[in-house]
Amino acid sequence: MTDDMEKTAIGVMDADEATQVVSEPQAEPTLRQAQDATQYAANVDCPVCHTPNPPSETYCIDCGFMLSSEPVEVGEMPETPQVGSLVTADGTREFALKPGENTVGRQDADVLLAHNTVSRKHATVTVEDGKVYVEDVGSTNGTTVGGRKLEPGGKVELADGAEVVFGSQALLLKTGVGGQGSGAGEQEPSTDEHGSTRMEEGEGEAPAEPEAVDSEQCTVDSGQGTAEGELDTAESELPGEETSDEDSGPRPPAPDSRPVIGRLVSTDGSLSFDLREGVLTVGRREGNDIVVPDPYCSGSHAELKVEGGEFTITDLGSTNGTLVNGVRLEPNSPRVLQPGDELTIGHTVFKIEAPE
Amino acid sequence: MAFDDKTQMTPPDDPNKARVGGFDPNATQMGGPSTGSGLSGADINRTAMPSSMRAITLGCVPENSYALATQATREHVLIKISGSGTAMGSRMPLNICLVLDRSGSMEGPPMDYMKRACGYVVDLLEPSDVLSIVAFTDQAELVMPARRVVNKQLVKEHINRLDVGNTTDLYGGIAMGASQVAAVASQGYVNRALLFTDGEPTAGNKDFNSIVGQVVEQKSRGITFTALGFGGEYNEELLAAIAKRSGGNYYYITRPELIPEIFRRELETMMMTVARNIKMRVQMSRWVQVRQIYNKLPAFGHRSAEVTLSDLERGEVQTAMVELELGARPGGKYRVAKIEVTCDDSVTGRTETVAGDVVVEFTTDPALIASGFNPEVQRELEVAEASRNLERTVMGMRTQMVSPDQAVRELEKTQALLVQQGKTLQAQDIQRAIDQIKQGGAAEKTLIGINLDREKAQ
Repeated sequence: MTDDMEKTAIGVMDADEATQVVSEPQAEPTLRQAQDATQYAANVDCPVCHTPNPPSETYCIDCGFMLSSEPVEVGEMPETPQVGSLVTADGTREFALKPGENTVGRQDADVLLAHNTVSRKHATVTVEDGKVYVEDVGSTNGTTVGGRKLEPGGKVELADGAEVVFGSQALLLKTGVGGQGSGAGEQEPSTDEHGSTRMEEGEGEAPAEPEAVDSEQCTVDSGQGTAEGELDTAESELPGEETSDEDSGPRPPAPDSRPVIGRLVSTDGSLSFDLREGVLTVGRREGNDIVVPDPYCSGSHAELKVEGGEFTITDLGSTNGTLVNGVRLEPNSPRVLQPGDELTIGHTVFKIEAPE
Repeated sequence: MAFDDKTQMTPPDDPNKARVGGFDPNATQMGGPSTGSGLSGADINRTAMPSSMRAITLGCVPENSYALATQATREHVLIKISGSGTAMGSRMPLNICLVLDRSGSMEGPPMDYMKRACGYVVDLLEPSDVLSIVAFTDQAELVMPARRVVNKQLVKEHINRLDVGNTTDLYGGIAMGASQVAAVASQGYVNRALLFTDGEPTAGNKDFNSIVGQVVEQKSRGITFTALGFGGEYNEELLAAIAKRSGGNYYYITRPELIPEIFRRELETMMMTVARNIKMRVQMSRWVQVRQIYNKLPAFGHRSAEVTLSDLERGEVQTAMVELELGARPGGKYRVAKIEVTCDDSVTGRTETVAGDVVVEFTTDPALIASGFNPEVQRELEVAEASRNLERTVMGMRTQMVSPDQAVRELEKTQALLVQQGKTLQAQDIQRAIDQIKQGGAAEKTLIGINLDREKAQ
């Protein structure tokens, strides 16, 4: 049932997956040709986000633009200051912060967390002079930063990557300029030390009690919605910054000054990728941070998170799966990789190499 | 009647149909007697049905068909899921477990009427339906394992042997009831446990979150709980949560002589089911986030948010209100989200998906935006606001933060709005609650069951 739905979803939103090879290996060459034919023959580039679309699509599979129409000239896109965002550890939700005060709560808030451990008015996150502060405004279940509970009325500055927990809901601060222009998963090239206040994977295990007054509305966190796919940070990019770009694909990443923490190397030696702090997308399609030219690899296959010297792979519901040491991962369930682990994406086998 | 009619509904020029009729060996099975094969065997029918032959239709209505280009904005989208209005084919067979409280407080008329109510259920069922019976007191016990309702007298004897015990192991009852429902292949059946209780859980696992959590887990397996609360002592917050989180119904039964009538009503509701196991998925385009889905806890995935919905009755309309955060973009028409609803469809007998696009035109013309508001969505937003106020009133009453006079005033406001929006059934329920309060009684058990997201056929 869920599988069916997953397939349908892919079929529509991600139409070139339809050509994904799932049959016997010996059929591979023909299928690959067929796939190339459908994939490259008559793709229509979206005039807004430049994503190549199969000719059958009415709306761009990525940004939803109606492909039969022309984007309206609106002059300059206003410069929206990108001051950062709060993201869930699993990356499925992102709350862009605006300069000044951002309210956090269960109702009518800027950062809207519909969970029974979050008060209606829970906290405020203030962005000023490029710094981000959080303040609890008298919530029932409290707010913690880096494991320390905030005193009501006390403001605490959040560092990039810091974890802040509202009730039981954990979010990570991601600062920096959005729309860096590169592919999905590109994080701000930043040289300042990440991780000083960074928490390990917050899964919201805070032992918060449900609010007594209104626990009925959403009594139990069913556990759904956690541990889902990783963040596609491209979603926070501004479209306007790309419209002037003649290039059909996303631009190459800006020169990266972050230190290389490890390498992802295919066991046949044909592929090698530097790994830096951040979230890297893995897929067959151009525009991924790690492009795997394997017909058994889905267009958007997996995400590899590099954080605090740890590598975490998450399958994004790929057709042919992601395997660690021969064991197939559940889609959207992150798995930490150890150096030497064998990572199979489609039919390509990789190893993680970490220097130390 | 189910099967032959349905195959006839397929247009004769449909190539799939020709193939089924021509050389698919399954076709002979389809032409055979429909008894017993019912809907559970219907997946042998691979014929593509036109969407008009589906049990549900989907409507996606944005609050405004225009939005301001180059600026971030928020927009509500009203999702309407309607059950087909006419009976097509036979009803879905039922797979029911009666989960019955036989604690000490049930002694006397409540126990007698409960047995009579169960007898009605047995009378109304057909041999294609499956029934099991679980009773709970100090612990749960299996009165009758899941079986087809062929020998009705035998089933009734099981029911009549029930007698009162002591405490209330609600958790154990739910677990055993769910396992009985799960014992039957779920595909094609309306799978539901009817939980009847008159008190707070006093034995076994009594933790609110554990009990509701277990129900949520069963829901993910396609099992729905309907909660029937009897008398003044049960925990309405718990029962309402059980019903709500599992997509079932909640009933408040005030007097023992009403028990059989309420059981009958629930059974008729189940027999009207045209779609079950309904899941709605909001697939977001780039620069779009789901802020919230009113009264639901979405499971967020990669650019998606998914919620489960209640089983849909014939002619019923369920609504979901989604709030989207739309990022800045150049002008033009965009599909900001795609809505996909999957369900077990009683018309096709298979799992079906219907999809709809939420399309918004981004423009710089403020006049277009001012003209683009959809009055229906605005009305529904008012109802949603009323729903929130109602919830706040109920919680205020439970915690004695709201006086009876204040509650009546609040409820009258909500009621007026519901009348105005044509939600007459719910307005009547609120009237009943107002009367209860004015007579010095408690109205929480009535109010907590009012569901403004569903509009049943009248």
